[in-house]
Amino acid sequence: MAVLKRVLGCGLILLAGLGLVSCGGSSGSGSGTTTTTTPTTPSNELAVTVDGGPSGEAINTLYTTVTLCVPGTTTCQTIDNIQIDTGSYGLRVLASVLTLSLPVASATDGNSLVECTQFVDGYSWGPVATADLEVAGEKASSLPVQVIGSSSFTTVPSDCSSTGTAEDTVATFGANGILGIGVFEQDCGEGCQDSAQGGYYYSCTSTVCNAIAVPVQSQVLNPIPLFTTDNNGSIIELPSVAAGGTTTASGSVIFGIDTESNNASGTQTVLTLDDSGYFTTTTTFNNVPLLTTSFIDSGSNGLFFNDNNSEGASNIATCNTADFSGFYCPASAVALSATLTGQNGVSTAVSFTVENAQTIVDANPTYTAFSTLGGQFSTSTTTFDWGLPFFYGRNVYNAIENHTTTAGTGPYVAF
Amino acid sequence: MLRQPRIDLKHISLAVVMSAALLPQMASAALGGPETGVAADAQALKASVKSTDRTTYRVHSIQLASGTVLREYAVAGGTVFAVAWSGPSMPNLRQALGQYFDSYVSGAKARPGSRRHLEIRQSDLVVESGGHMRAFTGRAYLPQELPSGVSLDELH
Repeated sequence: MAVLKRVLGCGLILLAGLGLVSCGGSSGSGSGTTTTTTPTTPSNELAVTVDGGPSGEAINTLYTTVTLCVPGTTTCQTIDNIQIDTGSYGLRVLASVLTLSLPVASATDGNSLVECTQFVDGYSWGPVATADLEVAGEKASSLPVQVIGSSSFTTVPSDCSSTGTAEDTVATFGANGILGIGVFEQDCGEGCQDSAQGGYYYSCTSTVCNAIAVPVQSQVLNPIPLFTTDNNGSIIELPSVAAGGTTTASGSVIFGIDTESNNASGTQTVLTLDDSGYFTTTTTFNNVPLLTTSFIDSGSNGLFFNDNNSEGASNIATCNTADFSGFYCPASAVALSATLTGQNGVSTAVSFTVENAQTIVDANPTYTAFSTLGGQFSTSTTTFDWGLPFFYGRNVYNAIENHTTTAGTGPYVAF
Repeated sequence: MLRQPRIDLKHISLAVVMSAALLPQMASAALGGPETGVAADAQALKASVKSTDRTTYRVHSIQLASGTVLREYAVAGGTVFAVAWSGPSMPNLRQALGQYFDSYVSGAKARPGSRRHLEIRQSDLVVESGGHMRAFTGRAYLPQELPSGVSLDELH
């Protein structure tokens, strides 16, 4: 697998007194250019691609290119290798790829607003900055975004670092940034507005940070609701990928649902979601048939579920090499089906196939898209994580909470 | 290369075990700590606790301010042998894992980055963590401290 390493020797600097985050340098490698951007063809269609990403080694990871601008100006930077993630909310960019000087947002006490983003195995720490985001023909003005890995705010509070290790480089992140366009409007929500919570938002001076409550509109926001139109959700459209995988897969994110000629609700199955974004998957193969905390997530690179017998052992053979631990490696392809049921009681059956992860990945080192990649979800006995393989050959609708389409009110997923 | 768990079978270093054994018994209900620390922890966290007796152990459910529920499983009057969590926020793992936190961090560092799944398997510590923003689940347990007859399916 070809590895193309991008080197951007550019760190984040706080311009003292100005409250600006910047890397200060000029654009270097095509990832950073300062231009005047005027979309000639207003469009709600954003090109997205499954490819190897910054390292060339990513698998089933969906990337796009976005343009960030200093608010209210035409000073902009185009950034590629931004992951599209329906399992998170808001835009996060690695400081090392940012050449713009973006203003740091203020906490309610006037100090700098800095965020701790939690992941299952670690955290990302960095200031909230304000930017105008341009994707396709859409624009979210004065959008709060997170700049990860800033050299200006290096003292990480212990209740932030308590989730594990820092993910603050392109290498550890696997992308130049991540665009969270799932079904929620903010990355934390009312819980962070009602009280100061360790592990989320902090008010920072140059020497000390304290947890602080943040109004929902000042939190890092899903940009879609800020679009002028096309602001109630999105549709991810990816082509089918045959068993065995393929080199790359190109498709689109269509912004809005029932707002343009290209995003009408049709005969899709609408599964409404609970406050955590969950629906239920029913299986006939697993020892726990009802998986009540299931979700569809473009940021997961496989179909993650358990297929256990009554003794708790996996019916599908798991891989036995370190690189593929947690993935399934059956001797021959396994065909399964499950029923997905929304909180509204609406159900639909989905068929899927699991192939030997190691065999298909090793057979074609240049392949990055695999529709049959599966693995265990050992953390929870009640979860089916329908990752990117689910999206191949489907149009997956994500309707955002508190927003309405002709098919209903979000949060819902439809396909 | 794959953003998925690498199950780490390396053994916890003897040095860590030794230093842990030499630590004084602190009033903390962290993994491996005494059950008596649960109430103190809940007070420090300003959280409410609900305790339930099971056949061979007790479950203390701590409702955290973030909305996340942290469950601590302990032999009555004995050791906390497992912790589990579910909710919109990750719990403070430094507090919940106690003396095992450093082992968890080094285990997590040894793996390629993953934002959805984490699995660390060592002879005396298992950590499983999963989910996505605003919806996390996970657990950590000490395989050698599990009371006999306890199924892992009960620890959620």
